[in-house]
Amino acid sequence: MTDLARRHHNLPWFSLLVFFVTAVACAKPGVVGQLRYKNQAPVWRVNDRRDVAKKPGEYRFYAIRDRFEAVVVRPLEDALNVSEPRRAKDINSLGEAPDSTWFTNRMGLRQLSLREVARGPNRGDGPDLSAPLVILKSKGGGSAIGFVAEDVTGTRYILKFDHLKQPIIETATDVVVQRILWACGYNVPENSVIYLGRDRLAVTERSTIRDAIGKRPLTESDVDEVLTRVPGRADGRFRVLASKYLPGVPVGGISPVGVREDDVNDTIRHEDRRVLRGLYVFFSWLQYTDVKSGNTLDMWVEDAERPGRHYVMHYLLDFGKSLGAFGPLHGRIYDGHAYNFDFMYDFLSLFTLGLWQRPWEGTPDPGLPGLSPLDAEHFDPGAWKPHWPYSPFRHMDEYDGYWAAKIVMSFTPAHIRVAVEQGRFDHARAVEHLTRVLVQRQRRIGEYWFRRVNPLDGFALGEREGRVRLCFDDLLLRHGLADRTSGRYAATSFNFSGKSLGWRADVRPGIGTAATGNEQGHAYTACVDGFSLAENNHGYTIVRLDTWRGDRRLLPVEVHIARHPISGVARIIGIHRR
Amino acid sequence: MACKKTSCRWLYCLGLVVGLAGMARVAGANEPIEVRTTKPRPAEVPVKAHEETDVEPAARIPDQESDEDLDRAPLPQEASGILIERDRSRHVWLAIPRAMLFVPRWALEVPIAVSRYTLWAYEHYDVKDRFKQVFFNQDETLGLYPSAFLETGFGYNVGARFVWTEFFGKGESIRARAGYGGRSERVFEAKLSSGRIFDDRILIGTVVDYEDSGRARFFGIGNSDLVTFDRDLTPVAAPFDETAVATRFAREDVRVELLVQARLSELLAVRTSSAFRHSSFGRSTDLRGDDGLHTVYDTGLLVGHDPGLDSLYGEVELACDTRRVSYSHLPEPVPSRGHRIDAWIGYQRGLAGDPSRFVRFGAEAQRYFDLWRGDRVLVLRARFEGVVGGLDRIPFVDFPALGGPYVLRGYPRDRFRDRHAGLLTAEYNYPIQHWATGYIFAEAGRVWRRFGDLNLDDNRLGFGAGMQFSTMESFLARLLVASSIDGGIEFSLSFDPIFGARKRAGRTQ
Repeated sequence: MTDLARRHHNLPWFSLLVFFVTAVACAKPGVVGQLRYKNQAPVWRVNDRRDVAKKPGEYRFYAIRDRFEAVVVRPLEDALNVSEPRRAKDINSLGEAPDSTWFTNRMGLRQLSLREVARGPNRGDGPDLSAPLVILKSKGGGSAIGFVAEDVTGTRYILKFDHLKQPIIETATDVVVQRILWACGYNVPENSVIYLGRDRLAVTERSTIRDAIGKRPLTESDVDEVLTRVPGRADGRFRVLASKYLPGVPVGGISPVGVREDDVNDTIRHEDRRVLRGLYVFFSWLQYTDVKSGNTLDMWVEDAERPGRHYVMHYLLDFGKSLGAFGPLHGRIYDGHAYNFDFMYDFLSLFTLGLWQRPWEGTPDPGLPGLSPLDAEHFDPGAWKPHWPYSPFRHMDEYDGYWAAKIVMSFTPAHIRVAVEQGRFDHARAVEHLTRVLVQRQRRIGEYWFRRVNPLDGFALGEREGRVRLCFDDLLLRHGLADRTSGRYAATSFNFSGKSLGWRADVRPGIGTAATGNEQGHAYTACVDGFSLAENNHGYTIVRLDTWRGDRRLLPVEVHIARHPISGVARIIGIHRR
Repeated sequence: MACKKTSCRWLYCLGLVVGLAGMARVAGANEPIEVRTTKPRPAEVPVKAHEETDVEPAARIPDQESDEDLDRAPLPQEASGILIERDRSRHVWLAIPRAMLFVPRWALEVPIAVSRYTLWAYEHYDVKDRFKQVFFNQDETLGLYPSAFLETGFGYNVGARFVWTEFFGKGESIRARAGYGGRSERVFEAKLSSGRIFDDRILIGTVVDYEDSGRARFFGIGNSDLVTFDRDLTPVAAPFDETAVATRFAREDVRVELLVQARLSELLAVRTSSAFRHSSFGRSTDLRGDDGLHTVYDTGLLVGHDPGLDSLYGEVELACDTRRVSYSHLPEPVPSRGHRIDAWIGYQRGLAGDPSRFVRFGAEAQRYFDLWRGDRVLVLRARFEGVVGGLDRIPFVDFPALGGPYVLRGYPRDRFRDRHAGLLTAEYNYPIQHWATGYIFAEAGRVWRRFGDLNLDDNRLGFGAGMQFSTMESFLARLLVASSIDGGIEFSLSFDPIFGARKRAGRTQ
């Protein structure tokens, strides 16, 4: 059983049997599926900013109920319903996620500069410290100690401190992960690591604190007392994570299933959203295991360009316990390997009497301030687990994983390094170490997910004198994850009704067919040419690309091509991975 | 032709018609926007070969779009551009298992709905917080709340607890509890602890308690095997006759204890404890299959049984504790390495008609071996305890005893008693979860009458397994399933760590 199937262990066995039988029965070489695309350019932006005039109701995170649902109810219901896997629905005809209130294409399709990654979503350098920050109240929720404060410009920030025994870890981790997730395309708050002296924190008559007694006025001595519980620095200052208040009105977290009934733009069930399913890959890369709706936030915002119109923006929050920080902070060394209640691991651990070396054991502690045990050797991208099952992850498939892995792999080591530097670690060696680990984990992700599908991508089309040329990259080869001599491809073409057009070409990467002239090309690129588009249906042609990796034949990729109805220019209108 | 079946041809024809109609609509009514711009790639991203040719990449996305563009953009569910869906008809026969599972599916809805809304209500209405609001003050330092728990083999205990902490803000506390049922018929207990009032290194505490137990157990005095008592025989003359019979008796204890503990260094602590105890004994009315003590044993020979005990006890204990975890991510209540050595000596003297007069002494050594990664740990323990005094000066409940959830597990509590008790333990701890540790153990021990008789013959051997639950900082509970070479299975759930310090003052194990 594959790792993916293992992770989806609750998939009913008979469904697997059904798919196996039907796959064997229907797998006829040389045919194309029945999926057809509209003759239009791929959609890169969707309109999910229609006016939501009334503030949506607050979605409250019920930790126990949500976990009961995720652990017991939904797997049981899926099994009894004999649910079939279903592909993500928030994607365009190329299998990419268009820009929306959930996601903005950044790394991957729009490459970011190092400067952009370094800055992330931040518009400034954190709070204006020319005058003391006025504490409004003590921070509620979460385990970190902190305050809500306002700077001289009236901008509000949540100030979070590190744990006394584990300095640097939480503040640095938060900013590193925030920068990377933003670069991946998600909405995140503006977070920065700053250093504050005690004189930069002020209390007014508006300041309140909620402690065991309840809500009461905050005093200077309360602030002093709080600061005794956080690590100070040699120069007397404190290291603080400043997280800027998000614009708009909070309306609770993102439900892991279903939609917001009172949001007209929320039309795709959340478990069917690729941008949520794909988080599995990003979170596994960054060891972000505290996955729950409580760590997400929907904001009802007014459209800056069109005053009076409102819509809901979707954010990810609280990244401080990623990168393995749950180990040193809470003793959860199984972070990323097992659920908090993981019956299989608990059962095996109980009855093997400790003789079984569990997958996470032996993860080395780097011994550098601000870093937690995290490595690539103990990382299995297909077997990674958050602390609790999360419904979108249960529904994710290899196509979601492939989509996310492409984005992960688009980060160069320089991109990763510049994001890590924003954590403001005390030691350069910490930056070096974490960058190296993230690059290694990145490659594991690419190797795993690019082998789950046929990883042909980067399709490009050209036409000269009625002869069409189709070029594509083999991502496993492009990223050096497979032997460059191992791939070969066969292309066949079909018309709209699925009838063969009688053309076939065999090609190897970096060589191309005799007519392509790809000899100067990269070793991971292959081109097929010399074929003609169908004569009817605006030239609707499907090029089926079969890939052999050694002797293993992968499921094909179908490239749908049609002529523009007006200009007649041939273009790719859809890509379907079987 | 890929598919020669007639049905397939029909589907293709239908698809063709629908597809043509769809494309005609697309071409006419929904004219796509042509995009020509691509964003330049940064220098560190390699340029693909075909970017140098005349081919156009498929994935070209616009840099910026105007609000008008946004208004014209498709809705999220329309982004896929799919004209004809994939054929899913081949999965129609899944309707068969779905139909078969229809009834169980809906039958489960009821318990699921009940569970779902119960959990929802628990959190939505903050039941936990409301419980605290009802039974505690705002800062949760003063509370009176009900308690109920199940003690295996003894039944339910229900009662109430009172707690008042931090009245000087130094960790001091007053705690009291009253309970009914379970191991004790009635129990009342009040504790006062100084916390950090005097110093971080000095702790003073006092305990006053009353316990009425109707089914305490007595198996005679000695190391003998259990026998069935023949009612025609004369009563057993313990302690001179070592015949062991499972009996029960009733007892009532009132105890006042004063404890002073001083930490001399990081590793070394001294503890002095003194206690006054009043005990009276009677007939059990809840024998649970055992015999009554009074029918089996000659109670006239059991020191202290009639008319009871009123005694003072004082003890000094020295403890050296170097136990620690190998790695910071491991829970502190499950040490990886180090040792703990305790030695104690105490003296008990009776008041009024109580004949008690004896010296109690003992030592316990524990050694922890980190076998692997700090959480596969072998614990070895050797324990010896003795009393020095005449048999007519040692109350029958004050002999060192073995059996129960702490010493010689696998045997009932207080199964063996005599002047000297020795025990060897080997326990292996291994990790299950960060909050649960598994263990297996074997223990050998026995009791002796005279020190010169000390030998390793007739050792009793207990063995078993269990789980220990803890947070990162503190011990929570221990679950035990144990047996012995003499048979029987013992279950217990204990709330004191087995390898921690034991309190003896005023207690009978």
